Amino acid sequence: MDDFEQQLSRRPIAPPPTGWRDEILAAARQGRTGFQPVTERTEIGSLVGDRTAISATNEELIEAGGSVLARQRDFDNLPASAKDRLEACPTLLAALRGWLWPHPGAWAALAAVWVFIFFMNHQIQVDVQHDIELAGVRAPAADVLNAFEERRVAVEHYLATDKFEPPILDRPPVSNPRRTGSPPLMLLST
Amino acid sequence: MADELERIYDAHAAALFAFLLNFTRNEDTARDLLQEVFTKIAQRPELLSDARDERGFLLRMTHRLAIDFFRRKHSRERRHEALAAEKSSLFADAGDPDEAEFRRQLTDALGELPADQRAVVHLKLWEGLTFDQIATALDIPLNTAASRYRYGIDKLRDRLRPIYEEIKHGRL
Repeated sequence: MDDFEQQLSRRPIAPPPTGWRDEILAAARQGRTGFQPVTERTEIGSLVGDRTAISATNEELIEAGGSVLARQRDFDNLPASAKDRLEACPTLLAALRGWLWPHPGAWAALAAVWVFIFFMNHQIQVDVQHDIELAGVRAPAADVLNAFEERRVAVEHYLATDKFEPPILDRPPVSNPRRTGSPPLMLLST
Repeated sequence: MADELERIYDAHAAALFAFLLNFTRNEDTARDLLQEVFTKIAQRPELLSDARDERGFLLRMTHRLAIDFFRRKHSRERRHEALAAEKSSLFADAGDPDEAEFRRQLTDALGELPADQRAVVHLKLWEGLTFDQIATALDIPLNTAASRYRYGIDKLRDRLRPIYEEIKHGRL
């Protein structure tokens, strides 16, 4: 530690008030947590005059404290089995909150972006369908599709064989001119 | 168990309260959390019997309870800072007015630190823990503990430079 750090460490932090010892130990033995209402904290307004009270100017903390006290009283009235289940819940929720990034606003923004993406995608599909209907385009009939399929097969065959020769599917039956008696081609000599 | 609880209180309550007061910056909250720590120990005394380092274990438990407390209150970092702005008397009273002024400025400077840096600085300066012990108590990596301390102490140094110079030269 350098001199500056030593200077800081020499300053003693205030100890807990001596009167707290018996109160805290008694409450601990009774199983009361730190949020158990004590006699002088019966109303939110009494917090202002209490030396250990939250600052009266911090209204948010006062409201939170009041709601915590009310929930603590409701909790105390529950049966033991229900208390056990409820005590496990905050731990689970705290663990989930710790696992999930503790910024609900960011999660809400991310969800809004996804909603926008889905909406735009749906809107684009609607527009395309609308344009198709305007153009009078109809779904092609089955025979038209078959004709296109046959042409596709023919083109693939031509490209594969590199010969201008119709595929067997389309080739008409070959007739033998010699057998059928057709006259041969005559080569005229000059 | 009653004697054991009293022994634990006498040995560790001051340190736990100091940590809570510096971390939460609110005496009321620090008291409630301190009571919650001892309530848990009273309900489950076997927790400490398995711990090799009582103080470290209790600091770790205290820190987790403080974090859970702020999460239950839906607090975010700025809520920590809002609480840090409250002028809680962090240090013991000083008779000398100049010393009191230095402690007041130190309290303000600590309040300006982020809660995570403030926790590390407190454990390093006022508990004398090593970075390894701090990392274990706060459940953070060792390098993170060291870097948070470095950032925190540098901010304090910049913030308190004028009054520190006066102390160093004996003017206070």
